Amino acid sequence: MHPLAPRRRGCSLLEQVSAMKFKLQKQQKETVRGYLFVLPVVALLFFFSFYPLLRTVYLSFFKVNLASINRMSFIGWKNYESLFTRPTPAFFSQILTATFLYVFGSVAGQIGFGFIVAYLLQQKFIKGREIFRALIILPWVVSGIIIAISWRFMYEPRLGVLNYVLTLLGAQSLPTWLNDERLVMACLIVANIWHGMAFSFIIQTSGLHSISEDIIEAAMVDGASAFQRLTLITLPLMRPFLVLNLILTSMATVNSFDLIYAMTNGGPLFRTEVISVHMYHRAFDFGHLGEGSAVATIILLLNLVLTIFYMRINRGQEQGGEL
Amino acid sequence: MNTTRHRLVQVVTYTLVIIWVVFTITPLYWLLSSTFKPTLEAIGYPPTLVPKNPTLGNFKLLFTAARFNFKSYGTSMVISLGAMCINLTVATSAGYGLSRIKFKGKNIVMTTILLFQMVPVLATLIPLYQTFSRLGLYNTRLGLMLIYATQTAPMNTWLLKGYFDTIPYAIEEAAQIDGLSRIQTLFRIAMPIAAPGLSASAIFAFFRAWNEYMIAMTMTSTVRPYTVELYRFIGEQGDVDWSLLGTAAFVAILPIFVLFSFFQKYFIIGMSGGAIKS
Repeated sequence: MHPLAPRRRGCSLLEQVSAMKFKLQKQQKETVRGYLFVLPVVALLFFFSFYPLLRTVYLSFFKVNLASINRMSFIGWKNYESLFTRPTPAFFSQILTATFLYVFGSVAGQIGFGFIVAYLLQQKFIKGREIFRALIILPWVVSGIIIAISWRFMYEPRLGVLNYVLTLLGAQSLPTWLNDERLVMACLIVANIWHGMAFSFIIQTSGLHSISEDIIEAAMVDGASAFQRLTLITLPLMRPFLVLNLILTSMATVNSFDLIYAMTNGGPLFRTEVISVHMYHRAFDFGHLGEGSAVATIILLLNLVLTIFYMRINRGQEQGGEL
Repeated sequence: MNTTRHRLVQVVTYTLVIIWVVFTITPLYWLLSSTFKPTLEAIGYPPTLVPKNPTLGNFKLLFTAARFNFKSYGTSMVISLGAMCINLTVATSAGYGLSRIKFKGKNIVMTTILLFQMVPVLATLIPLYQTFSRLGLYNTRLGLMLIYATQTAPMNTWLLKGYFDTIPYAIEEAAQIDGLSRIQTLFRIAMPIAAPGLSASAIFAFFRAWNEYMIAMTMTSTVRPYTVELYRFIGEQGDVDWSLLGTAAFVAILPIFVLFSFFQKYFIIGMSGGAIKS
């Protein structure tokens, strides 16, 4: 429609134009005001998150040493080359393998136990549910460094609780836990499941809340057994929550550092040298900031893949109206 | 028949839950109970489940210990509170703006802020170290405050935007007609009403900063938060004084336990990154 066509009665063209102008000015003012309000947070994110993120990728092509951080020389892909070709710790057979084992074990355990405990606590007859929940969530709110200390105390070969219990049970040769290269990864995974399981527990609890009781009751009336109700109704309905949980926990585990660093520092024999710990060693123990940045870039890529998955699923769920 | 089976299900369920709870509590209990044991008992054999000779002497020892700097709690407190203040200032401003003001590109700004939630700190650590060394922010409380404030900024901006959305705008509009500016309405009207949302964000920001270890270790040499002190305590080879270490951990956990027991719900909202809203 022509903008001048619907003239309101008793209102000159000039008045209309000036009113429109006024509105436009007001809109512009609002836009400026809006940006002023978000400016501080954007500035903070730019300087302390976005810029360093790009600079990590940039630095990965330079030779920079911790001792002289201002002297940088461009060396192309050399950092990646030395990273991939170093025999010990070998990047693929040791670091990535350790990372994969750690992530896989932690994620499977956290989601598995998170779901089971959430499901058990969801049963109607449970009393004191709130207290149980608070106790289960507790390890999650404690600093990773304290978690590491607690578990080192548990695993301690001479004073630890675990070996004490084993002696009581009559064990002859006692394991050395964190010093045993075959056991160390399992020990770390157990500690990490213990620490992070609460997050899965919370997601799965809110998922179970979202399932209407009518469906379960209808299935009961139809004669479905408890096992059938779980596998044919609850689990399929929980799928979006399980997938969300899977991706968020995987990301968190790939990026986790405190627990491993304080418990084993990557040892013994690089058995627990996961990618995050390796980045730290390269950059701050050996002082090769450039090579550390190369490792960080790979970590970034891993995160990117998981983020894309996450966004896809989020979008799919919004369209499907679930969650 | 049916009732006995039902009984059995109940017993099994309770047993499994209690097993998990015991598993959850044991490691922390073990460490923290050594707080109240004399050193010899804490490292003695056989281990005691309940302190045989309960003592508060470890707190006194911790205060004067040569191997643990008691001041590090103060450093952590200052850093965490500082990070919390910076974080709340920027997140309140942005949350309010995004909730109340219609402007071009708002959706893009909001999505971008949310995307930063996904940035792993690990991948920004090396450049931050370099930049901080150059700018003189290395080994300063301010440096850590700024990084910690940034970490929780996306989450808290969204949290507060969501909270402001639930407050009817009519009150503020009336105040604006009465001649208050936007900033004045924010301070005098919106913020008091949004107090629960603000405290949730504050707790979250404080708590993340209080528990952080990796950045603190990298960015400081002498200005050490307690997490770094704790690591130095166990990092040193040789005999670890477990009762003193347990005491140090106990003091560190105390503020978190107090906050957690009062604000459990807020913790869950904050820590789950908005993935769940319950």
